[in-house]
Amino acid sequence: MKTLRRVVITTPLLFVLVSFSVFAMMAAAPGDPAVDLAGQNAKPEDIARVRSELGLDQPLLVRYWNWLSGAVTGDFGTSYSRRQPVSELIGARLEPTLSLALVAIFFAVIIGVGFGILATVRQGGMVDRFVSVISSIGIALPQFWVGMLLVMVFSLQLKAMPATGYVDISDGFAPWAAHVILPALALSLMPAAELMRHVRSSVSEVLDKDFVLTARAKGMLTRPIYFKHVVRNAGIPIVTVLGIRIAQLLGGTVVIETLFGIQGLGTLTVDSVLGRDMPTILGVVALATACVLVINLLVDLSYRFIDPRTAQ
Amino acid sequence: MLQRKDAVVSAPRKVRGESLASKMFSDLRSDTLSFVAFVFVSAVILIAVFGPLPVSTDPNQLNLRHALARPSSEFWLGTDDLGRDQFSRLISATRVTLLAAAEAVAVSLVIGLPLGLVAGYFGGKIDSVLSRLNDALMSVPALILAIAVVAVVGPGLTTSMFAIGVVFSPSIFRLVRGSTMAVRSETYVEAAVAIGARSPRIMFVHVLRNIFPPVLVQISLLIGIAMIAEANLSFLGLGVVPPEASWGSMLRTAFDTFYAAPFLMFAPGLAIGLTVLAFSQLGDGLGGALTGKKASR
Amino acid sequence: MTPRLDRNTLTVKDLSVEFTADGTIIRPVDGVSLSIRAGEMLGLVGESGSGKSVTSLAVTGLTDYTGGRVVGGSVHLEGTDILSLASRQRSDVLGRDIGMIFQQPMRSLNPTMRIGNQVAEVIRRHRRLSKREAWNQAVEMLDRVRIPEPHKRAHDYPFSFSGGMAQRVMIAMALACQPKLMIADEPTTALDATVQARVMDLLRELQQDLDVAVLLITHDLGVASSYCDRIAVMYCGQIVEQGSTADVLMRPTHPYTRGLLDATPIRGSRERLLPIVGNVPPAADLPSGCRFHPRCQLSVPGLCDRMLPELRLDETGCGDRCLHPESATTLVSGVSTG
Repeated sequence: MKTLRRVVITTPLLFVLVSFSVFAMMAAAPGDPAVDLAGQNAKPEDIARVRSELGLDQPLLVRYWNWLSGAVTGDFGTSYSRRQPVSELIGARLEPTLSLALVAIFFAVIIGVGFGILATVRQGGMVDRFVSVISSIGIALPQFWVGMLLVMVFSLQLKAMPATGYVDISDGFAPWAAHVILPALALSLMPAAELMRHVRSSVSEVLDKDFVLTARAKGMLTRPIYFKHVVRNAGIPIVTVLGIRIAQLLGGTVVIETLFGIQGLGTLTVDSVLGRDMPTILGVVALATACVLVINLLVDLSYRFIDPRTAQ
Repeated sequence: MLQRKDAVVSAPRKVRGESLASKMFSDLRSDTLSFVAFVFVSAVILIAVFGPLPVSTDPNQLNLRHALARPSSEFWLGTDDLGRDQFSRLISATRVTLLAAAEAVAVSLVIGLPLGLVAGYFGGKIDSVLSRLNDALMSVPALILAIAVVAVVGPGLTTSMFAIGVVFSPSIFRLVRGSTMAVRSETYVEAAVAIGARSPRIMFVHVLRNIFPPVLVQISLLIGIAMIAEANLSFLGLGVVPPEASWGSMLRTAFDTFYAAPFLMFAPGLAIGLTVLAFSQLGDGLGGALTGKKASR
Repeated sequence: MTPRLDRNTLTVKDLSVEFTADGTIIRPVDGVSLSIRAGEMLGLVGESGSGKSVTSLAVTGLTDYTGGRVVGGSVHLEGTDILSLASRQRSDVLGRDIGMIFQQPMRSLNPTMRIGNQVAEVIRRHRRLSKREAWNQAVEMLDRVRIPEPHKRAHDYPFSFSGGMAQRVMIAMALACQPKLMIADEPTTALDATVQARVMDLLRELQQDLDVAVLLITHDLGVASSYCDRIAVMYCGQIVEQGSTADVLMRPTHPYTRGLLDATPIRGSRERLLPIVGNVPPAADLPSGCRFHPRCQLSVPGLCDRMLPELRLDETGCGDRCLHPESATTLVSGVSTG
């Protein structure tokens, strides 16, 4: 079965390739962490000691292997600049990013698919034109610009929602929602715009097909036509695009978190770059890659639900 | 296998007496939207090249007394927190932004084009390995990968656009590989029928000539995306270093002074948005002109 | 006129359909009237562009989905005025009282759905049956249209069916609920010659079994002559001649019908085929007066180019739309010599 092979062979392979490439790239980076960590007045013996503590004196492949075997159990090593295990750092910042991403995906799907179908059903109408304009604009503007615009309207003018910060959901649904809505919306608009466009073109293409006319000639009502005939035929390209956009969305969290002052994985990444904290960056990259690979897998699996032919 | 929107295109055969360029141009002219986009893009490029000269105000001139001034007859687009004239800053930033985008696209071509050619042309094991590497690269969210590269090469405009170029190279690789494979099967047929073996080098040149159109379209699209990427990185503080300005870094300044002067976000934001739209419309239009049918939007 | 019981299953009166294309309004169907009885097959014959397919879509109200508007006339199915029904009631009629099959059977089946489910779908839509019962009935229908091993094949997807088999499936879907009327829009045009006859034979047989009225749209006079009881010839959106098959094909009275026959190969005959001069005019630019007059040998200047002839029918429903019909039968075969 194709998916099984993908799970067992391809996905781990890709993960190893990515993580090794990034690992090697970081090992090749200029500068010696041992020197930085040992401090200004360190003597050569101290530097050498720090180096062997960090394992930096070993060959690249060994170092990578050590990292990898740790990574699969959740141990990503220790941060250079923060003296904390990377996994702890990531763990503390996971929830805000997760909330943000999930809500954004939710918005993207609702807005993208919703407007896409509305535009199809009322072709040539106001909604249709609105959708083509928005979908073009949505991919031409930086997400943080859209975020700033939202803040300007909702926070500054209407004073309806806070402009920064994040509140844990355990501290109350309403404050959490108030803090998450604007960033999630800003994050979702670009994928929503792309999705709108794809949904509209896929669905209208399917609706023009002969077998849909046959369905109508059989007396089928609009809703069953959409569910049984349209979804199965238009679904696969749409889900594929969705998968790609979600992967992109994960990258977008970096910018949106910075804009809204949310202490999530995105801001962790940016801080780590400025502090040249390689283990943390590597940890975040590994996590992000794992997410994308899982998403690809889920997309593959969904194919067989959408179009039964793929299961054969 | 799913249809890719960037499907392979074979270049229109040259008609005797009519160059490819003039044919493309006349096709483009007939599509109003694409023509407008073309004009806009040309205007932007002209501003990038000649812009700073006619503008009298120095973009880096500090006018602290007039800091955060609203648009007026003296300062057409207002001033930022250091009193710098936004209008002249916008003009001079055009060159920086465009060059930055060009750099990113150039890097992606340098990496992706030869590798894509090799993978598509030779196939087999080489292709497998390269494609796997390519898939791996595509498994990391773009911005995160870019940031990781910046961590290695250091912040700054040149280095961060290099990082963007690296991140873009898989899409060039894929496109070039696909186009090459399609063209190669064509030319093999030709070669079999034609006068014996043609040297691989001639074939390479032939392949390049034929994959040029879709690559050109992709370049146009990527320039737009690169501008947004530059904006993102500058916003994060990893891109342009002051006092130099790009449209992205102007947005960063606007963010820093957001509560005091929210109007500062509009000029650079609209500049980016319109230019990206123009480039992507141009790309669509070129694609339409080259395949002989209307753009897919 | 003496009142008489309308024994017709389908009565179409003065049906007109308009489309707007690039700002111009065209009328591909202009005042078409026809009627069909139970168990009878009426062939609506014409070249492409004559409006015959649009007529079939308009009868079912499906033009709403393909861009046209019905702007005049009425369609009655056993007394019910189809076009005045609300959209929900109309979709109740479709599939249950009217079954339809189309020209390209492979494209008319959902590639992602099993054949059995596609037939069962129409059954469940119009009858209160469980999934299992509907499936069983679907398999029965597939058997009836002579699909071999129907219980197995019902699980298959359309891609594993040939054109002829796919059309049989379409017939199964159209007749599953035992409709009163079946509309077949060029059902055999896309099929191989040998398959065509088999499918038409099947259609005829089922028609007789179920006593269904059938409207057969075709450009193929051979098919019409072999299977239809009556024929109506269409040109430029209007019916120009109609009558029993024998009458129309043996003793055509309209020059266009005559022209069509002369252009149709007949097995065994070695006569030259004579094309009709000129081309079918575009719908946006119809000639004045009789629409056929520019191509007609018998056209009388001052008369045929001014007056649009009416369709005159006798008591048996036979007739034509020509100002001098007698001449058509004596038309010398030879539109142009040499």
